[in-house]
Amino acid sequence: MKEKTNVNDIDRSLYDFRNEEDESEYFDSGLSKEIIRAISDEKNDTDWMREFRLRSLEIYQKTKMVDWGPSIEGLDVDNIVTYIRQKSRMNTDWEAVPDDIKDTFERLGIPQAERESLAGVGAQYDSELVYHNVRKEVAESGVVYTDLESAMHDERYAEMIRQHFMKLVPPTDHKFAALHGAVWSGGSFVYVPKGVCLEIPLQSYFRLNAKGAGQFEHTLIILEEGSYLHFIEGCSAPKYYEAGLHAGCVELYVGRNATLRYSTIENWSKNMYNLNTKRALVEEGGKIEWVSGSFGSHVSYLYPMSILNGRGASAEFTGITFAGEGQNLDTGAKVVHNAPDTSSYINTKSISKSGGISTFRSAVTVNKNAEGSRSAVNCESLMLDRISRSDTVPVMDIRTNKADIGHEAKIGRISDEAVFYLMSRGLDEDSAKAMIVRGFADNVSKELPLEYAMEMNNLIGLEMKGSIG
Amino acid sequence: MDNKRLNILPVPTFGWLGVNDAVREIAVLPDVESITVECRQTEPVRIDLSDNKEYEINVCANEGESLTVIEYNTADSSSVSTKIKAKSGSRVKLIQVIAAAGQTVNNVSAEVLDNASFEYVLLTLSGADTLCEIKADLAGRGAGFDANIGYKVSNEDKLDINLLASHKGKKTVSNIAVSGVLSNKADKTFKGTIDFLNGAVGAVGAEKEEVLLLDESVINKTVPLILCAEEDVEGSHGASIGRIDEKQVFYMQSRGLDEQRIYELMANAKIIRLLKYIDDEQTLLRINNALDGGNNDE
Repeated sequence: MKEKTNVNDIDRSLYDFRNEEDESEYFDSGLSKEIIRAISDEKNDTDWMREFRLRSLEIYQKTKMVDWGPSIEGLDVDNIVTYIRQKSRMNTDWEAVPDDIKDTFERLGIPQAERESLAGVGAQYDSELVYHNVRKEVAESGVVYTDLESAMHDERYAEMIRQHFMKLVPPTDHKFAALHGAVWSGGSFVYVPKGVCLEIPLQSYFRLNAKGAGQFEHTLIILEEGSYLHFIEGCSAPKYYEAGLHAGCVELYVGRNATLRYSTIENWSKNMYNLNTKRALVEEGGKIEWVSGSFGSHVSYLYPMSILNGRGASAEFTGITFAGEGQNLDTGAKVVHNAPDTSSYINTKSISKSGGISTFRSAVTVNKNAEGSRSAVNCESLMLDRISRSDTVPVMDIRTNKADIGHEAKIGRISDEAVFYLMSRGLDEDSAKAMIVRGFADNVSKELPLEYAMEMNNLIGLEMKGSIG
Repeated sequence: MDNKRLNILPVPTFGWLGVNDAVREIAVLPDVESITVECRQTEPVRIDLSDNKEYEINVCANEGESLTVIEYNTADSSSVSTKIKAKSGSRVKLIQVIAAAGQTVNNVSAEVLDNASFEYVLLTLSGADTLCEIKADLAGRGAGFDANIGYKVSNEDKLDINLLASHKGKKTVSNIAVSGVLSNKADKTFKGTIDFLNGAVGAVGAEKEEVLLLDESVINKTVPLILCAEEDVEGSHGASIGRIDEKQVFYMQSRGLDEQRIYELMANAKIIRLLKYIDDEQTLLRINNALDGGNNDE
């Protein structure tokens, strides 16, 4: 009897190791003014930030949970440790990082990637950055890449950060944006001056090692006119039985005729609730390119938003989501066309397997002032068995007659015709199906630098075996 | 007046988009009229809905029978509930024309059994506030559902359509084609859902909407959902929203038509597309009169 073709789940052995934690460094779980003040004291916050945190806490307590999307009943924020004091201060010398943390990032390949293909690296372990470094020639070009908290205390950037911090994603946006505003810790600040183009990417890597904890890093990137940056974000955590929470926030300001490519390979463990918020404001002629791979977490709500605020601004979103056993991944993108001649293109793929639930959710809004704008949305879903689920929930809200909007979606299984064609070219059935599934994920991998495309392919672990039954 | 939550999206989404439901004050209508259509009819059954009341219409096609029902709604304010049962091998065609003045709450629910088919045609020409909810339950093996919907919304009118094709049976098929034109502060939402339930092996569903926006005052919301809990299915949806293609305008201008006339023609084309599905002279005449009246008003 033939064995049915099997597409394996993601091989997580690379990510599922953990270090022993010193729990005396944990703050109390839950949320109270006392905990917020203690975090503020720990970080030596300025007065406005202390007030901001407390105000965000009030908003959090008043704001209702979302009434759509996957269930987050298993997440009890009162049991989440929102801050873990780090044993060492942030370093720019890799050798000064504590051995166990250094070992973690070595195993994830971060220092090697820095040496081989990155202009700068930031590494966050639990609540705090432990390492940040940028190549000398990049720093000399005027590019700032540092941890957000240091930058906030640096008089050269303090006012700039104050003017931009949580202005794109205000705490009133939703309950977990408010939570982020109250307890945020760590994250990166990037400033690229006018006309500077970084040929090689910067990368921040976020590792949550502690069990029952949350990670709330804040990434703030400002690109001045005519500049270019590729920023890569990676994240992972070992698996625990306790729920973990990631409620980070990314705010991207793309200046006139600037281009920002923001790539994410998300591989949280399957006990994590990934409730992340990402938003970009794009000025005249600017461009935001999102490349997103969502593989991990138990539950995800992730919809990077692009606000096209200047004439000719554009957004591209390329994403793939792989939902396996025990996962409910609700991902997609949002675009607001708020100026003439803006354009957006959303292209996503999703794979559902072994009872996994994948939902593509999008919103394209074209305001009255967005004359001459264009938008195209394309999403494809692949069901690999009968116990999984895949939903597509797009919305288009169009308020001008001078725009052209298109949408296409497809859902189905591996096409018999495609298998037949490849077999007619000499492939056996296993190889044909394997090729189709690998090709399905190709839209994201071809957008990544080679090293990361290889990592992603490894992550997907699409191994085919047996024959077709 | 009661405040009610109608046209609820099967899977809710971002609240700020305002598409998860339609909350309306619904007029309480004093009278209820029940109509039953169940025997074999050679001629279409024409039902005139011209009074301000609640209509409860039950349609049942027995095994192997064919039945066409035409509802023409000109009431100022009405609530219409049409329940359809298409038994094995039967064919039911429901044509609804809404040329109303005020608020219309229109519900259609159909149960389609083995190898039966339900063909649905909806044409909305006027109405200050029109809410349509259509549910086709493709329960039997090989059950089919064809929906052809056209709308013309203008003069600050609101239209909210919530359509759900539930594929339960094996090898069920749905085809949903929607086209319409919006002008003069029209506010339209179309929510179309193809739901492949577990067990609907071999099911195929397709949905398409084309919307022509004639001016900057309109609001168009398009929400095409595919929900899928079965591996062996094929689902697709497409949407195209915007203005008239510039090449088409140029071509017609080269043939001597002015821009206003071109837009009138293109707008009517979105509606006229549907007329081929209305195989009843009387009804076609009424629609043509209503369309001409509309043009004269403009």
